[in-house]
Amino acid sequence: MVNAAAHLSDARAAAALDELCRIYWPPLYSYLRRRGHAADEAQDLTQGFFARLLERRDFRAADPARGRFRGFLLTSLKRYAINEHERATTVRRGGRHVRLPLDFEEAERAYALDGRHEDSPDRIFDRKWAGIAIDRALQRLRHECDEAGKGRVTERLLPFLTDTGDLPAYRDVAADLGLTEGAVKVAVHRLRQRFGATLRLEIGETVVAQDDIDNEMRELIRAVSS
Amino acid sequence: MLMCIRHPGAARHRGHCAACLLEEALAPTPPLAQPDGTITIHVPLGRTVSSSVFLVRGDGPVVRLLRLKTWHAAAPEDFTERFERLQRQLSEWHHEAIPVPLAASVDAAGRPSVLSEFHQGVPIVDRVEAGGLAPAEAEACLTRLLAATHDGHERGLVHGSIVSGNIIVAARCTLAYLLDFGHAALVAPEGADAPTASDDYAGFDRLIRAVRTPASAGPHPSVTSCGFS
Repeated sequence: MVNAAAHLSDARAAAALDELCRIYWPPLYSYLRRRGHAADEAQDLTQGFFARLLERRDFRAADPARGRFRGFLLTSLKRYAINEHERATTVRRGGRHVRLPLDFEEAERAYALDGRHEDSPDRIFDRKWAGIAIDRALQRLRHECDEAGKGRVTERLLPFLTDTGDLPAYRDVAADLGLTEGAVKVAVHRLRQRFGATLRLEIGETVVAQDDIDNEMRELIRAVSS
Repeated sequence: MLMCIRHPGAARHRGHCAACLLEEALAPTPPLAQPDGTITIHVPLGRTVSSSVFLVRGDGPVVRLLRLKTWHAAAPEDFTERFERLQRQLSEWHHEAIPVPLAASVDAAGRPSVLSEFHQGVPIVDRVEAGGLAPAEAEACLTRLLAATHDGHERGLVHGSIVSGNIIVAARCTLAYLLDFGHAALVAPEGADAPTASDDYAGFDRLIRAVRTPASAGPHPSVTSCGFS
């Protein structure tokens, strides 16, 4: 998707950039809130930033060496927020610009629910970003499994994606599903593999070079790990 | 909600450790790649006449717990080639109960080491003797691992050291791990008899007899994680 936004010159580029913004805007809002902006101010800045981005197609000016939409967005937002602060006379709340239908109430709720407010704004941004990527991968996985007629089994096995230590016994799950214990273990193993591939695809949508996926993943792991 | 043992400070996401979820999407570690950064030895997990096992912390981009096995004797000349072959075979096999080694090295004195993921657990016989696992469950578990080992044999792999310390069972989970698959052949001196499939079957036979008639049902063993031969 990032490649489309960066390289295509027609309406597809606009659509790709628009979709990326609609997916990955909440981390920017959380970043601004953590920076100390009041909710209404953070909303204005988020709207204004995206309006400007979509209008100018600024992504083409991104440093190709960085190659990651996440880094580009945050850097651009920081610059934008500084400029806005200096000018203090911006056409806010969209003004003549396009306004994206962003659900700020939900974003504010999510921000308030995050109990780790000792984190830096940059860390919060990265963690929210990782959460969105994970959620989208889970959605894709559920959709795939539903399409394959495995929705019920998948819902039962999704808690096993990671070993949280408080999981039900495989044999109990197997009995519920009418499968053997071995079959459940194999299904969990495959589900994990499929989830990994799906998440990889999702992250791949936000980097220019596919070689960059692992680096992006490691940065996100670092962001959520401490 | 329990803390993730591999990422103790990690954020939770939808009930999962977010770092574990992201790690699922990382590409497999390339052959012989060392983990980024350094490793710090936390505690020794065990020692025999031939090897020692340590719990170590990897201080790369992702802080995580790893298991380091070092041998006391010098490595055979072709240790690196053997390791690369073993790592490739285990990666292709990709069995959930058999960890793939992450990296290997030889120190200045010529002694080899292998770094693997750390899996917490107790040797299967100890768990049965402590009353934490029913003999029938343990036997079923060993039978599954025996079938896996048979698959390994068909792939040209031999475990070479089927002992209780190499079969660990997590505290709550029923999943058991068969550690150090193929390590015996990694360090076998050139010209020495390589371990055979019969050695593996004999090892399972001993273990199945041991869990059928556990020595005692005493207190929980003090060992919380082991797995070395």
